[in-house]
Amino acid sequence: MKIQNFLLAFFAAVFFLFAGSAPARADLKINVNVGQVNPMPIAIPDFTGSAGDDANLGHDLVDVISADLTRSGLFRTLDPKSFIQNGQQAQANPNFSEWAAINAQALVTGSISKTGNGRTRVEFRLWDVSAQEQLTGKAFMTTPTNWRRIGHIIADEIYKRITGEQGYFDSRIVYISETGPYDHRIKRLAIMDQDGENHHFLTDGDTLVLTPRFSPTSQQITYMAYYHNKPRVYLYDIDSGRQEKLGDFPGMTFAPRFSPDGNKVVMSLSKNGNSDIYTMDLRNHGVSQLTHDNSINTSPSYSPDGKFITFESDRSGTPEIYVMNSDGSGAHRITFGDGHYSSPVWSPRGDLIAFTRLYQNQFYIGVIHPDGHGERLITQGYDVEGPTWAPNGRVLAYFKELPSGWNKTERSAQLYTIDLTGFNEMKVNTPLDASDPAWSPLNP
Amino acid sequence: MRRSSIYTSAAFHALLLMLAIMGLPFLAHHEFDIPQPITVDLIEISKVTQTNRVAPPAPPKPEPPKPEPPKPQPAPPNPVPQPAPPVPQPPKPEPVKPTPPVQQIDENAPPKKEKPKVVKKVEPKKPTAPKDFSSVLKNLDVSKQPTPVAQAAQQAPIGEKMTMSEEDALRSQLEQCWDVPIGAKDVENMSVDIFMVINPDRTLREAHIVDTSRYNSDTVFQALADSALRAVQRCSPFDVPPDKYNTWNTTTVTFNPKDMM
Repeated sequence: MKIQNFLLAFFAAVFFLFAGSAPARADLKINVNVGQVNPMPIAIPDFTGSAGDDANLGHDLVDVISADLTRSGLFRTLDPKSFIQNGQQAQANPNFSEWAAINAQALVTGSISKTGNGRTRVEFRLWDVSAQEQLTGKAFMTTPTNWRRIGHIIADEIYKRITGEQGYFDSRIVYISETGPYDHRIKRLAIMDQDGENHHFLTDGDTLVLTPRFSPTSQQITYMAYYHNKPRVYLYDIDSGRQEKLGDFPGMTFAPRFSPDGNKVVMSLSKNGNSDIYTMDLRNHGVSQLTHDNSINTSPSYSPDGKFITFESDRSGTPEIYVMNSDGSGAHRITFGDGHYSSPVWSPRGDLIAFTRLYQNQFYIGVIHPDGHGERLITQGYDVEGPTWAPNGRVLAYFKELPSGWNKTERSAQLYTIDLTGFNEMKVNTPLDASDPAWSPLNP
Repeated sequence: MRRSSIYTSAAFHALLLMLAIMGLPFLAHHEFDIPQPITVDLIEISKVTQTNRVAPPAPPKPEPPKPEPPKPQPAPPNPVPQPAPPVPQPPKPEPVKPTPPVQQIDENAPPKKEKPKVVKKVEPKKPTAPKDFSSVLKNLDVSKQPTPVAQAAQQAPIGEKMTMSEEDALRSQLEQCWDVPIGAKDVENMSVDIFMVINPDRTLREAHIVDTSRYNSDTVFQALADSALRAVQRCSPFDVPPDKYNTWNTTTVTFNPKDMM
């Protein structure tokens, strides 16, 4: 009895203790579920340098950084004419109220110096203007010829700190460069930085090449080339220029793509009018078949964790997108809209699958969640195809083809990029016509 | 006797008939509509939402591009089939330029240690859009001194509450200040709480992120939280009724972009 009374008193005491300490008045609570979509105003005064060369470099470097950030659509670089402080002053001691006065929300300052052995040291800092503090800062050493890459790397650092996601500016795109009349197209493999600079060709025009795909882990490309009128899958090493044919199959192989670990290639093999999905281990050339039915199964693409494969199949009667386990089991359909779906590509971020959809003579590029919900079409045109993801899974590149020439019997194809929100479509400049882009991972 | 039994029978039949129609009172199962207790917050409410701000424009939702009417393109008569194979030999590589030398990255620029931010807002926001040239040159900030109104507000009754209109006005103001890092992975499923202490003159004294552990471990959350912090900094001074200081001097704002997706 006594113990019970004691417990009762104890709990009562505890109760009153807490009740008494509770605030007499709750905070005001406000829920904000809508905001604005505005590019962030960012000020990047020229990086300072000691000698004349360095000063020019400081200006060129800022041009590369500004162009990258502006192209992403998420930043608005402010006009240097509006700056109150110059680069020198901002680098020494940023006056935040002066940057706030021109509505800058972020400020980037930097400096360049030469080190003894002919190398260049570039240092930058990113500042939050309203909080008046440094968000990130890093220094890089490089040979002076490599300055564009430093610009891309700094732009990636800024992008990463502000958006919370990996950047993608320090990356490259391989694509098929096209020239000549529609019925005698010369197609060459070409590579360039993601902003179109440092362009060069990888193959001559003797052989028809198609569908290049970047390895996620190494500087290798897999692609298709026609040999004796038969498409074959090849592997190309960018650094050495060496290429090899992947196996000798009885039928035709196409639509090759790397596995996320870079050790396997998944592709489609066609025999007797029916195609199935196979993987080939690049280390021992061991082949395994993943799909076994009498329909067309093609365009496989791994999920970034390697556990699933999305592919295109017409087993239901029309081309649709499916997802299966990477051993070939558990295939299920994820697209149910009207029209034809094709060329699914799993985002490196894992959360979306990009695809091409043909509906009523219009092509669309869209994205869908791997479980089949939330399909969104983000661009459309007479012919838009070949979506490929930027390494951060935020931006898609693809090509648009339009009839051209005086009687519209020719074709003109160009590369574009778009943000996955469906905004900010941008053309990528190439010397000739361009199709079938493949975005590289971040440069090593 | 026989007649009376007929009557009795008729009476019983009539009784049974009535029972069949009307039922026995104690067998009837009455469902009472007991009103569910509903908690009702009694709040003052103005007749109309008197926000002096324009309603925020509908957020541009990512949506499929408007299908422009496809230009009727004369389809090419017949796509000419691929002619004879180009050259029957394996593709020749062109001499490849060496890839740019991998540069060495040295991280000796001392990046300042990131810590959960506690922002001390010292200066109230500058008056925007100066109308005449003289205002650009010098403008002493009078709003630093607590206004008499605000001092009066200190004595506001504790039970005072913000009206829905007043909450709407603050919400609407914050919506205008908030640039959302939209498109980041799963950002639509994230929400961040910002705790603010507001001065009697309605300017921000201090704001900080409540969930600091996630701020340091999740970069997308960090970007969302930073955008929310910038929003409250840009919005100061706040659109709150000066005479109800006690209701808004500590405010927690939950930012969550779910309605934009």
